[in-house]
Amino acid sequence: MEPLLLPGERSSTLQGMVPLEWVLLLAAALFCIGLYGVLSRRNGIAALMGIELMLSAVGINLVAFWRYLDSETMMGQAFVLLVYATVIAQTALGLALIVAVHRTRGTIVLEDLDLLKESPRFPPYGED
Amino acid sequence: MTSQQILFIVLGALTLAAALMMVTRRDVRRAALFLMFTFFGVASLHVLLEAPFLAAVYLFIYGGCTATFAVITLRRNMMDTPEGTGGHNRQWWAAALVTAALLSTIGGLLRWTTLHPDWVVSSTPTPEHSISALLAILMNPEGLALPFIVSSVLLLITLVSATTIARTR
Repeated sequence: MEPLLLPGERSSTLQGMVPLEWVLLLAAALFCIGLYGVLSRRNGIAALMGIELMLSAVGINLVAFWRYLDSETMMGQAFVLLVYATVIAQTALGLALIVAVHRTRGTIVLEDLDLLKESPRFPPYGED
Repeated sequence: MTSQQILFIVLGALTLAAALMMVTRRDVRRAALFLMFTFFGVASLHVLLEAPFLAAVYLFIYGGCTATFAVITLRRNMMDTPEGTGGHNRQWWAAALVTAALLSTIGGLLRWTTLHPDWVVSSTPTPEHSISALLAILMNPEGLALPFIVSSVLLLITLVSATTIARTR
């Protein structure tokens, strides 16, 4: 369908297209849901899943900005590919940490992983 | 409202519903399956945004993640403890407040302010042969060849580190 706006004309909506604000709002909602998952879940793997949701929202944002602002070249998509490579690296390392923690501590409940927590036996640095 | 907008609303609603189901399930295995549904929804949004190759790559990467999540959480001794690992911690209400505040802030900014004036919507179509155009940028020394090599080194280092951390002594 032919766009009614001339190239360079300022608007956020082309004829028949989804407005950019809708896509950004959807990505923000997905990001916030993932953030809730990270902050409120007890299981470490469930928290990692929340992080995956947040990174998916970032990907939607990047693809939307590529499509709406710079769709002549594929530079935006190439950048998104590099972002996804970083995501898979982070996921692999996170899962490896979960496996190692489970082996040494016997639990992956985030509330029970409190080795760095201050306790009466180990006063803060500087106090005797 | 055009058909594309209706399709976007339907796909977006399904994706958000799957994401909400994922963060509210007590059973981590069910959460992993809902995460897979969410990834399919996001991949469909990639297709709607005219990035089909990225949708396929997204499904490979994230769908593969979910399969790994599901396999790991299916290990009974990791998934459950006598106290139960599912569900939410004591601060779930604070998390809900924070995320609701963040979402309303972003929504308010999008609704009540105009977008940046330099954000001019491009009306030119996307490149015809997308994969060859993508590779032309990724393999071009004046394009993204160096970040591409750096990301491959990052993946190598990460995977070696992950196997070192996770291996049994």
